[in-house]
Amino acid sequence: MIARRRLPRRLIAGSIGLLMICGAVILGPRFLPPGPPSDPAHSALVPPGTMLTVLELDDGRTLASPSVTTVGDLVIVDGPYSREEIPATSVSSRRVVQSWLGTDRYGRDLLRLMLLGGRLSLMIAALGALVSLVVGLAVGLSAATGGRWIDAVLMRSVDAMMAFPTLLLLILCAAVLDPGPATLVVLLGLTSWMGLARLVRGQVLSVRERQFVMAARVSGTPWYRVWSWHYLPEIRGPVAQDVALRLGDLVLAEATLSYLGLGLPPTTPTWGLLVSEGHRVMMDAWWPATLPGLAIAFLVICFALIGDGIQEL
Amino acid sequence: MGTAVTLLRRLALLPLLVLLVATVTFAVVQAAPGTYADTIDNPRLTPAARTHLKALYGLDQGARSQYFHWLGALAQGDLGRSFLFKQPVADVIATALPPTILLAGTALAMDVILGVLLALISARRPGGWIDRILTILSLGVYGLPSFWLAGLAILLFSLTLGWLPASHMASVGADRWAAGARWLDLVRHLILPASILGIVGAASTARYLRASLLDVRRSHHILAARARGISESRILWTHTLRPALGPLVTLIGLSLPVLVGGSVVVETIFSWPGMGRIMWQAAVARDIPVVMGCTLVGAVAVILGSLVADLLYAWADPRVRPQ
Repeated sequence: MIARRRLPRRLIAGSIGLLMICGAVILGPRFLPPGPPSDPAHSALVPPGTMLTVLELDDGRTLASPSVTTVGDLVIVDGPYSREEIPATSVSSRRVVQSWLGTDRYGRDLLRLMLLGGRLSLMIAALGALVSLVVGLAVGLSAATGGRWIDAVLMRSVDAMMAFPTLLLLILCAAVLDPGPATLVVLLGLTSWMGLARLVRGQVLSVRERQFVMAARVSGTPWYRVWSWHYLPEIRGPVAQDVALRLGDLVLAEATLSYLGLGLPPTTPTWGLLVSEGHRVMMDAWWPATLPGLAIAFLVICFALIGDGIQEL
Repeated sequence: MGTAVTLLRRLALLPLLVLLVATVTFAVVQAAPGTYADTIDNPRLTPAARTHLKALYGLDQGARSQYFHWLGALAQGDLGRSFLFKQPVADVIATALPPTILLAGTALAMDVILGVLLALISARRPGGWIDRILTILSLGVYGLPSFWLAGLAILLFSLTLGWLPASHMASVGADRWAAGARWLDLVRHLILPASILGIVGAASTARYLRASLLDVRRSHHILAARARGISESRILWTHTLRPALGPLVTLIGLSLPVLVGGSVVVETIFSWPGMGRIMWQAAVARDIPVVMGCTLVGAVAVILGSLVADLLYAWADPRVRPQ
């Protein structure tokens, strides 16, 4: 009876993209060969694909440079900001590493930074969406099933929350509170649940009067079973779509706050912060600003595709 | 009748909502560590002078006393004096509002015109190659962060090609130019930030409108219109576009807050002297009166915006009018 429908292409494309990002971000740092170490003096702003020679010296220093030449018993390490001549005897090990996406202005490997930052961005967006999902579901379901007064109070608070200029509120809080992943998750979650609450309330109100729900309620089905058997399956689709689109919005919001320097402390390389760092060296190098920006776009587009795909289901 | 009552009821709620928003904002600012006097980064400022400053601005009093003081002044139409800009808050907002409205208004016009145009082109032949290209393009722009696009645009058009200025509203010394030259200068400064905001907005407008156009095309009244032999272009313009505009006018109503609040990111990147930048500077410097003033203006804009959106929706789609 139930015909198996083919999954929408957008859903498949978006999911594959998202899985790729998740895989890269989770497994990447563990399985990639160690990238070049940060050596600001010799390998700052090296373009993507450059082969870097990594030298470990007897005195404990590690140098990385795109141009290392040996002249007699001297090793000449050249770089944009410094040139050193080192006796070959003090070099304890020497290996060649490729910097696939180039380095930033501190000589840090961009690929590695982006993988670490992507992990943070994904985690913050996911947890923020979770907070927004839990609050939105709770408020929406309670408003729809709790009676007239609870409905009125909850929906007026939704109106009040929506009356806050969201980005201004985010900026205000982020400027004023201690920045950190937890603060950011709570902030993003608490400023984005209102649409979901309205959606859930509307959906549940429309199912509530249907005969199968009425039948369940008059026959004494406990409320939690009515919720889990009748309401949740009915609201699953629209809620999933909303959450997918919201995830994209949260990724962008987090990136925007980080770009403005209001998100996480500058030591954590989120994608928004990397773009902002990249803009400082825009005239000398295109990759530090461009590549993290494209990563943000890729992630947001994946979420949008998944959201569109769920709608087509 | 129904519309008028709903309208009045929601207008009556406005002051209450604004007061609520203001109170919560005040609590957030107060809960933050540090006051304006602590953020001043001047090595010559002695601790005694700091204390004196706090007393001068009333920052040494309790949060509740400060709140009621602010509220009492507000009741008399006084928004207070900015610590940071050394001006009445009303003046600060009055100078920041016109640039923001100019920028956001231009952007909104570009957003709507470009968005409707793209959606109409896309929806003519859904699934055709023009539609596919436009869909991919708008999805791409939708995903790109506006700060990234802004950086790229500055790099390309200002720094490399040198066609357009990269920041501010006017060139240095422009106030001594003739009126015509000044206008041209303003327009040249406006193009980049307005285009960034407009194009990013148009991408999502086109996405929404295309979906709702295709939705309307599947409905019965279109089939009926076709059966009556009405021409395809008339079906598109009157029978499809008007009901599909419902979500779009909601979108326009909801962008009123952006019109007033300013796009913080774009204003910051282009050093555009508008509301968003003021609010950001004030928040960082704990300039409570300005933060409160901006929040008030923002909250009124949000509430009025959603009201206008609902009215416009009812105008575009008679089916949602209250009975």
